[in-house]
Amino acid sequence: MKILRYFSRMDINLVLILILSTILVSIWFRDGNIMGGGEAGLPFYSPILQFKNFSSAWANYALGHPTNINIATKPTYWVLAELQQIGIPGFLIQAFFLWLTLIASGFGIYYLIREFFPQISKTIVFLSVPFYWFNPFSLVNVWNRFLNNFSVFYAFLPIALLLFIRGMRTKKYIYAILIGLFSLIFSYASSSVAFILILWLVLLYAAFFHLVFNKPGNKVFVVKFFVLAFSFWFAVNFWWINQVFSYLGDGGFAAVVATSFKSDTNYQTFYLLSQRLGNLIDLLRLKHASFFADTENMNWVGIYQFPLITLLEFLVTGIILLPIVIKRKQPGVLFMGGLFMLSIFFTKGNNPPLGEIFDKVLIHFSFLQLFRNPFEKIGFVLPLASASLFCLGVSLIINKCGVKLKKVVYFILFGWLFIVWGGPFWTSLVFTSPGIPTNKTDIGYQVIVPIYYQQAEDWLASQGSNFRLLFFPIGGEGITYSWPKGYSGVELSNQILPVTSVSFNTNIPFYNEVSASLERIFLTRENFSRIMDALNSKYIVLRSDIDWKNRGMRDPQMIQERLEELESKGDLKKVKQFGDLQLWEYLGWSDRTIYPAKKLVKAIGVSAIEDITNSEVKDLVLVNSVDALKEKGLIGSEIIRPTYKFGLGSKRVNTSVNISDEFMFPAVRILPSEYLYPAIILKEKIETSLIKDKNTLTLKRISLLGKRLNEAEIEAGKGHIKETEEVLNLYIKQLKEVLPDLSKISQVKGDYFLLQEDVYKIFLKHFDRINKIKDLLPQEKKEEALNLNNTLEKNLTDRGIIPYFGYLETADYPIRGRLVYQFNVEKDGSYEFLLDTASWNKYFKASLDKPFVFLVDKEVVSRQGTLASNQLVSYGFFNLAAGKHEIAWNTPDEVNLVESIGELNLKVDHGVVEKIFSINNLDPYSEYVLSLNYLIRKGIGVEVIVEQNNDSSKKGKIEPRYDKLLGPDAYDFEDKNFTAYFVPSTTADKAKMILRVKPWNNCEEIYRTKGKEKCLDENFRRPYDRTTEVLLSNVSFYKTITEIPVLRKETNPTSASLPKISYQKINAAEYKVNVEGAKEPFILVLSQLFDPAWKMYINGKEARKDHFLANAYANGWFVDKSGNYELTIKFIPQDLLAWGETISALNFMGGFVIVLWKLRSSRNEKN
Amino acid sequence: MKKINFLAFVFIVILGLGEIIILSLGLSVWPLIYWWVLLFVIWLIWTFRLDSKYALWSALFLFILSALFTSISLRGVGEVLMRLSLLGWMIGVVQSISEKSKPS
Repeated sequence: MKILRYFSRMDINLVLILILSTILVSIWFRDGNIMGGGEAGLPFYSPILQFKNFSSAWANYALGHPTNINIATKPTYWVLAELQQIGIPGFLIQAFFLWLTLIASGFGIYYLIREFFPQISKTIVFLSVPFYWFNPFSLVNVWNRFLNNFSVFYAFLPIALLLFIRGMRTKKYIYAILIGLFSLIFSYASSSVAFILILWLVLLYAAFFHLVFNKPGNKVFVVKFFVLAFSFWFAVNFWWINQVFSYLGDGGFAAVVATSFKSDTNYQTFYLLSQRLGNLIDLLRLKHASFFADTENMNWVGIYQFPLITLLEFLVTGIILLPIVIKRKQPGVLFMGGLFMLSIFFTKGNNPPLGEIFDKVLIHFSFLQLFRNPFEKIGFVLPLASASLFCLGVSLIINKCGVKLKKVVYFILFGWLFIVWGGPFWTSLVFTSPGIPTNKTDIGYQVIVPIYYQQAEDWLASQGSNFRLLFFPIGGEGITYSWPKGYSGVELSNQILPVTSVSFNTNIPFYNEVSASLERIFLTRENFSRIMDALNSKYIVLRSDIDWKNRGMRDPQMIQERLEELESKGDLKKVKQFGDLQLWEYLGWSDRTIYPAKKLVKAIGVSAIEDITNSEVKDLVLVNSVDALKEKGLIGSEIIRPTYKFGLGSKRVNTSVNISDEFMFPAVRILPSEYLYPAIILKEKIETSLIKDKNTLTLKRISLLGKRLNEAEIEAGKGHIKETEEVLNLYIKQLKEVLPDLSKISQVKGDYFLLQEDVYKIFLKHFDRINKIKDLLPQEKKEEALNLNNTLEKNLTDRGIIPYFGYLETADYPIRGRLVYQFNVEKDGSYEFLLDTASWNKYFKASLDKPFVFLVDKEVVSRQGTLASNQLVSYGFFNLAAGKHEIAWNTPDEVNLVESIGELNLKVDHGVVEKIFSINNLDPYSEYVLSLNYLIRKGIGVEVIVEQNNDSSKKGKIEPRYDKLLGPDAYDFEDKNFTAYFVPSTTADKAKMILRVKPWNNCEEIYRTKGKEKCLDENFRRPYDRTTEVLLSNVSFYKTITEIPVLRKETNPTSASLPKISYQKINAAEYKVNVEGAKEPFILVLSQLFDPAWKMYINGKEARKDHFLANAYANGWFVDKSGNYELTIKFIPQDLLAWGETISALNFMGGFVIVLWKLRSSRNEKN
Repeated sequence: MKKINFLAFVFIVILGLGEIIILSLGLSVWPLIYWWVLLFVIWLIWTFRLDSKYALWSALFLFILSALFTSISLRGVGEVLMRLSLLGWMIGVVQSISEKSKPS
């Protein structure tokens, strides 16, 4: 009765919010399924597992990872896990979670607007609720995006601002405390640093605004209130804040910055997203341009393209803007108006007008690059500001209307909000997205995980938790399951199975090195069991329930065949099958969570986990540069990988990069000796500063270097020595600016947009030009030009742009597809040269029976290859002194991998005519050059397609990744050559080249304005067909050399005994290790991802120095203590977490008590 | 004061002319035009002591024009007008805040 009485006294609008929220979640979850997808994954499948993953400072999933800011989700997952523990199904927990989000956001915005504009009637203020829920921004970014931290932040933002504003208005510090208390309840939102910054920037803006408009006496209060609010918030949230600081402070973050945080890439993303999403005509309607344009994949967004709807959308924006013009003297309007304009200004990114401000800020303060998608992050402020202005605008309009018209206007706006904007919510269309299967309206984000996952979960749980799983096929971060109610989003294995696994690729330092090469090693190397040991993997899981073509993954059948092959060798055994999941046990598995080792192999150069398979030494631990270990004499064997590779005289291919002389040595109009020359330099500076694309900028800078040489040559020719010297100095200055961008060009790992060979040729011309200039200079100045040549050469070799020993060419050893690999040898010695040439007879006219000619530094040597272990071929030993060395060879004559056809005439009048060439022996980890001659006699030309077995399909039609139309030239009608690189998908197993001709047809041109879609009908378009005829010849498909050579030096490892190790796992971040019988120094390996914050303590004392990267991903320590003793291995931020949790809990309780006491005292005052 | 006004005007005109010259050299400096517009509008407001209503009503007018152009699929024209409109809104809001914060 009391509750009923309470509800009867409640504001009717609040009751409506409760009812509407209930109806919405009832509709969304009416089928009793959980929802998930995209980046959100499927957290409600098992909140218990989520809590387990995010409850310690170290998360065990994948190869392990610092939980970092994600620890902020811990309280929420604790509550959700408790609900699951008492038997509440996942979909109900999720429905409850979304229901609370809707209510909190509804209540928050409703009270916020009443706080700002108390004069507006409650009926009008109520409109702010559907506005805030259903506006196009929240539709895309909050609900369709479906990330829990996004939706929680969306709910928390108006509440935080409300408390802040009310606190300053009523001058009560209690509201500052309340912000802190509420932030704990909404702590899930804190799992994004960008949101924290947005929250405090909005509150800072509010404080600043009050400072401007308050009387001098009140200004001190505003400052005190802000400081208190921030301090208490900091204290209450200290448990996750200390994790962030700890992460920033340790070397793990530095590794992420070095490998993943790429300012250039971030800036490019920012630039592209600003271009795509930052148009004001979209932003002012709160619209995500790309989402609402994708009518092909989501028909329903088409409604928002109608001109009338567009006009009405602008009408809504007009209502938002109206109060800024009419009520510009009201502080509330100025506050929200200013906030709205600021949010629009920053959400548009670096788009005009004045986008240069954001540009400069982002470039100079790299931490702000977390706003590289400004629409996604800053856009959250847009609905907050616009909802309140909208209500005021409606109020202004309605107050001008008569009684009847008032109702009509209100009804129309209500209809707009609930039907036009709200339609996708009532129909659940908001939970559909372009990809398969989420584009199907009957599926959307609904997911039913097959029952066999539960069976697998139960079985795995019974096997213990001291091992990992390896999943094949393995793809990127995303996956598409072909379940009846399927799923498309981040890979799920670590969210739905209780054992951690390596099941996806992602850009986490060290993890990425392992995951990216795992499937290749599994398929191509003999010693895969060594990788299983290094990763402590007991089972391989073969999954066949994935849409592998859609995700460009490998055909599971190929994995099955390889597994059977390994089973026949006795390495693996199939032990279980649950539905489409097969579990294969590694028979040599022993628990290697923590283990001792002595056999160390040092990897130099670009190290990779694959090197474990490249050594003859068994049970080895791979280490990088660790001086301490070298000093102790523990490292005998070495594997050296090249650091740079160079190429010259390869088959030329058409690249999109313009390296013509006209571009690389542009014409000179004004010379340095002319008075206008400074203006030319200024013009160049403006030009380069306006180039946003990094690659275009690099090319432009190289071309300006050529221009400098042109200028110098002309000036030298005219006898202007001083000007020549000046311009050559400028050349050196500009050269040093461009070289860092080019220094990646020969790195063994990673692609670069410009071929190293092209850059070499460009600079070769620079050398020629400088020599010409030298000839034009007087005798006493020739030395300077010579010095310039030397400086240029030194810079180019130091930066790895040209080989250290150059390209040697003699009459009996001409350059033909020359490849040069540069090695850094640390110690003099005899090194075995190994190269993966075992299968070269399939691709080149070369065989192991014949000697192969190499160039070692400057010496030509001929060696016979012999098959060594692990598919590698040994070309014997080379005596190399410490320092730089280069080993080079010419590419042997290639074997054409497609059928040779001589000449082929393809002619078509109607339909399609094609010639299919199957590609023999496709090695997906290599690269190819395809070439053909063609003469277009009639029609539109020929389509060159390379179709791979894992190309995706759309509407039953294969969409090849490689498809190029060779069309007619407007000028040259002769026979032409087409040569291009083809890089297959590394997950493809078969491919075919298709040369396809289609008739010329002008149906679409004729019906461009009269319904060109009619031309999609084959019968309709047929009369417009005209013959296409193409003569083809010299079709070839050659493999290029991509195999990376290694140098190996092996010594027999010591056979000393190892101590006996046992361990106890305290939690994910701490282990107690018992060492028994240690007689000599040894290495202890923890098979968790390397992080400097992992520390080892012997008898309570930290083993500070000797922590190193082991096996290319794990933690290793050098232990120099004999006897029996106990060690502790701990991830240090775990201690900080415990400490932070105590501080946060005490502050929260303290704040809670203060609020209760204040409430009680204010009630007593009232009485 | 008149002298300063005149000098500011000359400076802005030269800046504009400079941009036009650079444009004629084939450079893409269109985004910089908005800086010139901003300076010109600020100069207008300063010289003629215009209050915030001028900037805001102009912004609203440009907004309506932009909306009409966009509705008939002329997005390019609509976007340019909307950018000019945003300049007006920003100037107008800042002016309004400054007017409101001044003691009467």
